[in-house]
Amino acid sequence: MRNGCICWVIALTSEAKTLIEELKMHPLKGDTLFPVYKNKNEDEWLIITGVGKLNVASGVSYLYALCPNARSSFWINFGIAGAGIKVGNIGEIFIINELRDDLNRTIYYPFILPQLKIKNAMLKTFNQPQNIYESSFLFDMEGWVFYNIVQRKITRELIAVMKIISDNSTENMSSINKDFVKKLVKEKVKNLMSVRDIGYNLSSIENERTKEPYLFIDITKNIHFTFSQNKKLKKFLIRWDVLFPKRPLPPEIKDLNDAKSILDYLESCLDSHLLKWE
Amino acid sequence: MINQIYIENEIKNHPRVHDILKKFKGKPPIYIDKYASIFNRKNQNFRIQKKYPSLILAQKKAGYVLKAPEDFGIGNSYNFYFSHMYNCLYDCEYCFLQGMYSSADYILFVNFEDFEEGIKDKISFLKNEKVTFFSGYDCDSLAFEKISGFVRYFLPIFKKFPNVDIELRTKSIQMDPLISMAPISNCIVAFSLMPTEMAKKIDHKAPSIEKRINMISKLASMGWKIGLRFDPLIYGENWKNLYINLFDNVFKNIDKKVIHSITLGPLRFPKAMFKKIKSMNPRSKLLSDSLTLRGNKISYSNDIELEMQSFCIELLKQYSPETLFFSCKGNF
Repeated sequence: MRNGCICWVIALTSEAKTLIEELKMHPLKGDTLFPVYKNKNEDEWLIITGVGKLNVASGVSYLYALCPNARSSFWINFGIAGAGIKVGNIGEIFIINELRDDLNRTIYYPFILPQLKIKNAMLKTFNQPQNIYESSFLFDMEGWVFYNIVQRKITRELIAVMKIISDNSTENMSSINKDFVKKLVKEKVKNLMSVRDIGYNLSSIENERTKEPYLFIDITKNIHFTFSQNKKLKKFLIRWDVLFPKRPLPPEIKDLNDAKSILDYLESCLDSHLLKWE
Repeated sequence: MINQIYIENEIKNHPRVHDILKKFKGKPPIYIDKYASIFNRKNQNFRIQKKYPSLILAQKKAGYVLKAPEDFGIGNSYNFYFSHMYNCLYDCEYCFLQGMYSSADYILFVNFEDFEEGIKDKISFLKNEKVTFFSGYDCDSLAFEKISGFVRYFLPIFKKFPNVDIELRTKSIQMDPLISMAPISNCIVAFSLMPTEMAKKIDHKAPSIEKRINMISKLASMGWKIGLRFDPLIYGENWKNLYINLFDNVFKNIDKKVIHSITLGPLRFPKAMFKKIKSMNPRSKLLSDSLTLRGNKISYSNDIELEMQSFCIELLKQYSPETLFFSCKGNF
């Protein structure tokens, strides 16, 4: 079952434009705190946060609250970054394998996505724009904070930070403008999509693991279950699905009208089942 | 096989690290301050990591040799374990490591010399006692041998202390270091086994039971002492016949004289660990089976457990003297 979701967190409209078109996203209607986009299937979400640590922290929190599948989504922070000497050329794209902050000593090591042919680099996040082109890493104003906030709720395997070099010792920040950024992103959209595809798969795995069990909503819609009965029901339904994948439950419980009878019935079926090994 | 290699800065110049890196050419490592900055942090998905594990080369700082849990013994009065590695290449649905750590990445502690010192300290402290050291508690003793060189390093050490035993517990058939040397009288190569039909469904990524039995047969014919570990015993339809076939298959292929010990253990999980393991792997049939909370452990009912234990013991008596039988109940 393909059932993933992607949450893009991007600082600038010019960085987001190509993705919005590529993924056929449209803006969320109404009064939103930040510009937020999603696609028709609602499995692709994008927020434009503005530049800087505070903006990205607020944007992540806002998108987390808005996206119904935020918890099992794959989160990507993508944008332009400055690059130290020998890190790479203008327009080169990187996936970040080490995140540092200029003011905080915590270092994050994002999960290395499998089978990805994109170069890795370290990223350091600052409060102000930098021109430290003699350094040996990438630098930006959002990456570390994005990761710091997202990893509080999202499993490490579902977070990625990607950067395209916009300025380095050969071409400084003065060349950066909207059209230049759009061009850089457009040239690397294939790479972005390859990360997106891997992320979508990983998100599907997580979604499959955490999804509400089959029939849970249908059963609890009409019959009252206490809190502890609800928990028990969820456990039994998951086991039912695993042990009796070809045995539809509704006809078997259609005449049972209260929570206890349903739970007793499920328990007796599940406990009398013998696993087949041959 | 290995998604990424991380190396603790402190050991980046360790010769064993250099040797290991030669086996992963083209995979630039990431240097880290301490393994805990990646391993076992909160919010990690064990199942996804199990698909794409990383290798972390680290230095163990303390606790080189630890007292083995109660019931873990195979005849000696003192039992210790040491873990040069955390986590395992295999992916067995009943494995407690899934609940022990939130990471599935492999940690390999390269400072074997410190483990060696810890082992020697224990040996000299208990010099007139019967002691067994177990190496396959937090990992498979041999599965990672080609990378780690663990057995090649440690067996010659134990050879010098014939009064203490070393158990290498494994499902691996990578036995090059053992095949290339003469048997060591105080080394027990202990294989975990279960009926083929069960192993096919729950011993993911591990060599088949047939391959394991072939390897046991080979080592036995060389004279290596063999341990048979029927742990955990798994229940289900036709379980009696499945175990009859397994025992028959094992014993017809092994010279009984080289059997050092036979261990039987029930399927068991500490309560908190089971919750974690089940939440990570809700689709597991084994974990969805009828398991009950008994004291602090999740297991089959007492009746099933006793029935399986006594049935298997009766069967095994046909093949082997009861003095070689040990039970690992795993009371947590």
